[in-house]
Amino acid sequence: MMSGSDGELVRLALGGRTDAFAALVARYLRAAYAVALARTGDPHDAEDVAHDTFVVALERLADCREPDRFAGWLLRIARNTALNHVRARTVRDAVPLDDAAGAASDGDPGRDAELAALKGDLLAAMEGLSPVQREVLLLHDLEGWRHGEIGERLGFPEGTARYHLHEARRTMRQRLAPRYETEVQRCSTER
Amino acid sequence: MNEDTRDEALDLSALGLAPSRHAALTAGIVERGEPILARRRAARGPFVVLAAWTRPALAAAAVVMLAALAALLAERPREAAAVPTTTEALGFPAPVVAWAEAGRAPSLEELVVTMNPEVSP
Repeated sequence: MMSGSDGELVRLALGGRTDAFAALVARYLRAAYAVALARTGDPHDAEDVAHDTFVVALERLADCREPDRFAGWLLRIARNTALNHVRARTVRDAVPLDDAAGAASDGDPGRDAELAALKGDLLAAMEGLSPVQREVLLLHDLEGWRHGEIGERLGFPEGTARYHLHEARRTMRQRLAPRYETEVQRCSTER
Repeated sequence: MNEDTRDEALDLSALGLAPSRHAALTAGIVERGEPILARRRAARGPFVVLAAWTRPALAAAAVVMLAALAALLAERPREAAAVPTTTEALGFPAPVVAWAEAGRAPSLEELVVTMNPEVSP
């Protein structure tokens, strides 16, 4: 995979270099997907949004005035694309969350079922967060971005990123705890 | 107090893209982007690339051309004001033109001086 700074890859992609564009996709697909998931709450939709985000970004690449800040620019496109997607979905009726939670994984059927259930629980818990909290939570705890990176790329101070993350985790724990505490109690009783 | 004050990372890996989905999505995006990239490559043909390399030289040539054009334009009114006669245009010496205009034959002395200006009368 091609390496180089975001700015270099953007300039090469502007010249039509497929390998440079592929490197940008590999570098930021997960982040675009995280932002899309934060906004749509649906893994299938998030994949579609992530896909469309990169195509739109490539078409408008010449408008990226600061190529070294490509990530922030891309995530804004992801957010807008997700919002448009959600509006369109509202019109054509929503995809049930449970179906969305059943997105394909790489494991066996039993593990897939567990994963789908966990995914459904996490998505349901995330509904209690604000869109920004969801973005920060996913970019930090799923993608491993640092507070500073998140703040810079989402356009707010690092301290705000920390605050959103803290609040998001607290809310998630509160919403997930009853279900998992009940399950633990049920397992103990069955023994 | 019931408040949860822990701030450890949550395990959200279940929400992440599975490697197979990541690979499929990447391939799909690159495939859909290829026509756009191809247009960019076509727009940047060899001549465009060459033009980009020689841009400073072209700019300098443009400056020289503009300066030359300005000089030519400044010179033009003077040329237009003095319309040369046929004999001047043919390059005859001024005295010959004067004799022709006056319709008289030069003397021998005038001829010698005209043909050899270093010889004074």
